[in-house]
Amino acid sequence: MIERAHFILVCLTLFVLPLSSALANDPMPSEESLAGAFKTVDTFSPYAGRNFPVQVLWGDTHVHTGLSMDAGAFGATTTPDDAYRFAKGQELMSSTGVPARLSKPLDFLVVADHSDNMGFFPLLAAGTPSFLADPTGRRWYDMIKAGGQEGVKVAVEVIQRFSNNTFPEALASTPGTTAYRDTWEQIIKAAEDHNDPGNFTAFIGFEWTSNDMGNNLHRVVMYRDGGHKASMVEPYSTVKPQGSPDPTKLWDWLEAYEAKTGGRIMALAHNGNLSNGIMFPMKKTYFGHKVNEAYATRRARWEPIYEVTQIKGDGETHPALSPNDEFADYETWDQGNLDLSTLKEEKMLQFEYARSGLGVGMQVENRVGVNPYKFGMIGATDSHTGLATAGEDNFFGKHSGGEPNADRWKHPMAKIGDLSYESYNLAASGLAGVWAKENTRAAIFDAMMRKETYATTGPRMTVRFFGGWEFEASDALTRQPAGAGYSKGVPMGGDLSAPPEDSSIPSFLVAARKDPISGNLDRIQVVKIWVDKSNTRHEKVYDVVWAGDRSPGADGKLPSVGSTVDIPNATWTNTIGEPELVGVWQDPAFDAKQPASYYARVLEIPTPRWMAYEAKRYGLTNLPEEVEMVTQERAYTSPIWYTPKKK
Amino acid sequence: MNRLLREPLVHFLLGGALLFILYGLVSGDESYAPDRIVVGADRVTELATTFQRTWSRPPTDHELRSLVNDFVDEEVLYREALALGLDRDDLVIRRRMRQKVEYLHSDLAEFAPPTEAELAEYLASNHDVYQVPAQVTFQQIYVNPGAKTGDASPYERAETILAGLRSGQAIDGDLTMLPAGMRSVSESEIGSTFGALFAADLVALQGVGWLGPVASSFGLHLVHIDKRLPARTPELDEIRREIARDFDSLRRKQKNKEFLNKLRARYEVEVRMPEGESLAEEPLAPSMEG
Repeated sequence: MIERAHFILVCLTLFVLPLSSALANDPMPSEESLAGAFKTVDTFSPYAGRNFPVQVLWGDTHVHTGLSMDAGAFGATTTPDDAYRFAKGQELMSSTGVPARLSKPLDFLVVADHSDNMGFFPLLAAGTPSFLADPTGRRWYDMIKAGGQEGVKVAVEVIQRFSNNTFPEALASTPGTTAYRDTWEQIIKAAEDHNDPGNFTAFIGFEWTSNDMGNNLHRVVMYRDGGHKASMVEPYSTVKPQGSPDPTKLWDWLEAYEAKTGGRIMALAHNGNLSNGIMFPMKKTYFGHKVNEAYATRRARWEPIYEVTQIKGDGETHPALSPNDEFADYETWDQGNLDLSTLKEEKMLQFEYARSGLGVGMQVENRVGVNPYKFGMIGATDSHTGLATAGEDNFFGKHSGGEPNADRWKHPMAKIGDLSYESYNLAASGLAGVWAKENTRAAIFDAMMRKETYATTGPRMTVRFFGGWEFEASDALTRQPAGAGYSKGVPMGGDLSAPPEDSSIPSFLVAARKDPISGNLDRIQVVKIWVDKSNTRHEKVYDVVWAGDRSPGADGKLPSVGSTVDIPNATWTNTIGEPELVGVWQDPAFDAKQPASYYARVLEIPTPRWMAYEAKRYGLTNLPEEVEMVTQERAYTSPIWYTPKKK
Repeated sequence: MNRLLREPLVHFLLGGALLFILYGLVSGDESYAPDRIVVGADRVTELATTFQRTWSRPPTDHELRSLVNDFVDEEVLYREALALGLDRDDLVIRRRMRQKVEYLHSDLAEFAPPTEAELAEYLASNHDVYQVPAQVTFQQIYVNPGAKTGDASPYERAETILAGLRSGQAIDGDLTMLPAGMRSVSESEIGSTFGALFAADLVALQGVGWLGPVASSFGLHLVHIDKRLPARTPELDEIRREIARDFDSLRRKQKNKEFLNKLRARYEVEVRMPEGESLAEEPLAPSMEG
């Protein structure tokens, strides 16, 4: 009934107004009629007419296939084509002959093979002369150029010659024909073949694997563009003189790419935990550059998001850095750098983890005026099997030597002398949740640029996080908190506006809905990192909304939610926790003069870790004590920053 | 002296020397002259071209010198490695070379584009893979099992709400962030939000009006199915791109298999088993091909 009234009002206004202004000299409609004209008609879909993202898209920004030097060496035979099919939900044979399938398809994928040693047959423009010098080569070249059936005949002839062992030796090692495509072009082709705007997004990308002296500074490079632009420039590698392991040189290359092609590109760093203290430097970088305004500006511009959780450990925080955080010791890898050539020292930790890194960024900003580490958060797998598996009950390991079989838990992922990265310490992590307006390269890339993303350790919870100055408890009592969120504040990844009054205190609206196939939710927390006037960093974790009737104890800590995990059977029940949590929280210790960043952490109830499924499936007994069998999956949102106005 | 020149041995020696000299003159190839590395002009061009493709500009003279030096270092170590036989029995090298052969063949297997008949036939024999799934438009009212609302069990509350809905009342149900409904979605899309079991139960519902309660991992739901669209097989024109891509992928895989079988036919394979070990006749079979 109300809709009808509005409809009539709209019609009247639309038809009568122009008429009346034509007839009478009265261009100003009355306020009442205008109020009616612009009211949104209640539609079935509450999303009609809104301009903010209403769906979260799930993807993995970091998967390697058999094209990666190390993956192929480990035995991966998957191709980029296979990786995309798997991500879309098809069943595949893994490289070791085990059938594999994702529980739910992903919405996007980045195949990020290592740029070093990429390319079986790099296209050697100069190779062509020696190819043409051979009479058979010349004949084939002409036939290929003729194209069509002639080209096909060449292929047939080449294969026959090959099978009969009569392939001209000179030609075998002289790529230069259209038959020998550059591996980079193959990667691009697979992405273009599988990119399906609106349904599935295949991003073009590669990994720049900086590993100087074993210290991890890897970045995944991701393109917003399609094959036309991406194929104009060869990927940047890390071995001198062609490449460099220095991130500032990578940024030079990114800049050159954008300048040459007019395209857009970004770099996503990961595994600060294996960098041995060089991921988020305070004063000087590992390669000797000063952390000054220029460095900070470039770092912030090229690296808007950070891969905080993946198979080689969780990088949110470390128990030594966050002794009061009972959830800090999660999938912690802290023995040393990537190849264990140098052991870890405690002083390295603060420059390795995301939480302290956010703080270091604000400390640097106090000194040089720009925050270099103002990053959003995502998760990814870094799987080297071509299969993006992050589910605890569907974990295919880091590389093909670790694909499911009864003994894989025993074989260390890497072993140097007495030290090793044990397979049972691999994390079945993570995924990226992106609040994008649609499932296309442009929309997802742009969402990442504005950091409207969050990381999970595998499950697909829906998480919303907004910061503003006017949220009230009633904003949590709606069906769609995002409505209040976007109109009264900024989403995850955003910057709080200037406080409306000197006494204003920021408030945050958090909401999370469980992954239907995973555990219920235990609690949502807000982690605050701030810097005081002596430029010292602080952090505090607040429990904001939680399941059940618990209250914080005398020590201020919320009691644990308990556990329903049956380890021998690798099961749990959702009789504890809640499927949805939503609440509004105000910062009780806000100081308008102190820069601060806030991010939300959502925790599930305890569920079986992949080793528990492993033990059950393969009947394993007598596992070492240190093998973790229970996990509490979590999500980390991109932060919201508060920056005091400069006087 | 004359006697010497007429000796067959001398002729042999002279002939041999001549051959050596001739060979040295004819084979000017850089790679095979011992202790001599010649970096040819085409190689230098290749280094510069690769640099240019990475940096969008040609290398400076100093940069080119670095590239050439690095290449020479690589060639030196490569030859030393070969001389030491380091290419043999190296798992990584073996796998790399295997991949190279497989790629070489796969790469060369460029096919003529498929015909209409081939694509139509492929779609016909695989139509279940390409089915557009059935779609549903529905509304749902949520009952939270954890809500504290008197003595009634969640199930009883749901039944009460159902009765109310059926008699025409507008009931909101318990507060949730789950959507109040979804429009034209497949079972798997429903499953992504509500869970696979709920999705399966929902699409299997018979009857009209408000139905339920249907359980999900969130609680109970009363549902109203507004519209149904049955599953259908798309026309070739709708999915031509996917069909062509998948057909090509399958053809390529088949060709690769034939190629390997053909090569293998050239070899005689004997497996000697250690004491106490046994070998099955057939390998593991995949449940699906490709």
